[in-house]
Amino acid sequence: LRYAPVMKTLLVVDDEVEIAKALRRLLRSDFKVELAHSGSEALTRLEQGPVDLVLSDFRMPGMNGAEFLSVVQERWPSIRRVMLSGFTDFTPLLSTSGEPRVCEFLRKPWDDADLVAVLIRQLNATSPATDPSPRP
Amino acid sequence: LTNPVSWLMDRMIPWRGDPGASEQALKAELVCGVSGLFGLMGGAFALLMSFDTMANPSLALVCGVSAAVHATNLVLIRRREAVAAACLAVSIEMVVLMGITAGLMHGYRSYDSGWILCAPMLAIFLLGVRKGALCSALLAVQPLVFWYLEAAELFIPSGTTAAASAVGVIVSNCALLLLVLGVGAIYERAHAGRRSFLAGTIAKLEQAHRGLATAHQQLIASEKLSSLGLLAAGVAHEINNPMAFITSNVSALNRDFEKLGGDQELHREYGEEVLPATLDGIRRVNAIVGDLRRFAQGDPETFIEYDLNHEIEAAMRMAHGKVSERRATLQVDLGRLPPIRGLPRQIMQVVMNLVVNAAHASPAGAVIRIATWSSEDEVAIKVQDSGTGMSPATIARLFEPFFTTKPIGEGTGLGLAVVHGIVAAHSGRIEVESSPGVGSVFTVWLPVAAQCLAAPSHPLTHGVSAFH
Repeated sequence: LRYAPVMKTLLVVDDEVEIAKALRRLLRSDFKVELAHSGSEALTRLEQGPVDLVLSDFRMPGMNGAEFLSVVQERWPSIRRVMLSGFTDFTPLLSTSGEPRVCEFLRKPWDDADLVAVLIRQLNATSPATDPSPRP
Repeated sequence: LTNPVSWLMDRMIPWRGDPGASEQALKAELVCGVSGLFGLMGGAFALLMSFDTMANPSLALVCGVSAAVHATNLVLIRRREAVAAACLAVSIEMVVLMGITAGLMHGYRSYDSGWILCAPMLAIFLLGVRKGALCSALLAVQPLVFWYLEAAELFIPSGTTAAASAVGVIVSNCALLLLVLGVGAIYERAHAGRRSFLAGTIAKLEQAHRGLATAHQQLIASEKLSSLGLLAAGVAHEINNPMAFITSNVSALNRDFEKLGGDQELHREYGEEVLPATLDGIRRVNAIVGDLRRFAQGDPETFIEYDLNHEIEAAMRMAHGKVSERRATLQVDLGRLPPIRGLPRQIMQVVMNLVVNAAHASPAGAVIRIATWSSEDEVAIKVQDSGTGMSPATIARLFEPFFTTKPIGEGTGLGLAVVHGIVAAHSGRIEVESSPGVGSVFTVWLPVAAQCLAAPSHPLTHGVSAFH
């Protein structure tokens, strides 16, 4: 645990267990990573203690990623929200005016270096994001 | 002859301008000739029967001249003008013959109207069956009326001078001829109206048929692309999720491999060959899945305002390697464009794919032309090459994923499928013109104020045509 005192907490939400585990494998050296496999499970976890960033899938049974992130935005506005999805129409999320529900989008399969860079940038951003600029 | 002839032709010859005119003209002239011959025979018969009067030699002379004229026409007939000449000749004969007969034989008699027997045939041939029958009926009224008038002693009463009778008959025959011409003209006009109406209707139907056939083909093509799009989307989605963790896991394995112990030889083989090769394979699969996704839907991102010419310049820089490999030259003509909305990076990919394709199709040292211009609410990008061109069969399948004319291993066949998907997501359209050996022109039209579509209409309208 190299940066133990400042290590940020990430909550990875994905119904595909292998994806959640792969993300943990990738991120565990830089962040404190916790896993949840549905929106409701993730909300339960959020109620229990502070989290700095949620990284959520879009297409999940029950509550989808957009619904989940809306709740997060409402109840814990200081938590950064990143969506990681393979094949989805993001238009309804993007077209909402005002503060975006999602700070950044990433697509599956992700590039390891890109993903880490995005997470670090989001965690370093102090104010709620206002720029939903798409990532390439 | 020219002016009255064309005047007559315009009014009396219904088949004017028809390809079969000369055959009909021949038939008409045959009728004229036969009628003249009958006249000649009648004259000769009258000459033999009543040798003592002066009437019959004159009648015979006129009939003889008429027969000679018709015979000459029959021999010389090459053009439809002969028909008009014959019509004119017969008409004059009728008038003059009747006048002379009436004058010299001391009064017109209804039974002298024997020439009317020839009239139905003539009229039918000249004016067509129905018009001819009507004219014949009108002509047949004449002897009936005259017969009645004679019986009542009203027309040419006894004691009328020969000259007066002649004038009376000539005037009445002239009136009748005018009547025939008038009826013919009216019929002709009505007929011409109906004919042009029919011709117009047929032309409209043919046009509609062509339009429907084209639309049908385009519909089939876009239906095909649409179902391929759904298939591609499904496949991409299903492959994407496992590929996500496969990619990440193999990358992690590759990264952490050094830390694992075990057989040195096996360690080296996996570290230097197996894992890098596996990662390369994974990258290729991901690239293809990404292309399939772009074909299926375009990438879901926000539309932003951007400068199209700027993206084209970037695309040309990206395609530079492929273009210079073929020793081709890019000739660029970028017009003044308004800023447009869309996904600049994807549009850049569209242009790049088109330019790379053009370079592949071009012979060494060829010129590839790229132009942009704007219309009212659209901008156009044209990429033109003078390369191998495409056959209609190739054009028909152009945008299908995995359709390629390149040798196996040289192209995935996804380049134009991606172009299609991206342009569809921008609500644009693609026009393709191509001809084998001449080259191809791709024109992409993009709306200036494109809206990001919730579900891109996959049946993209694309006009495909071939120039020859």
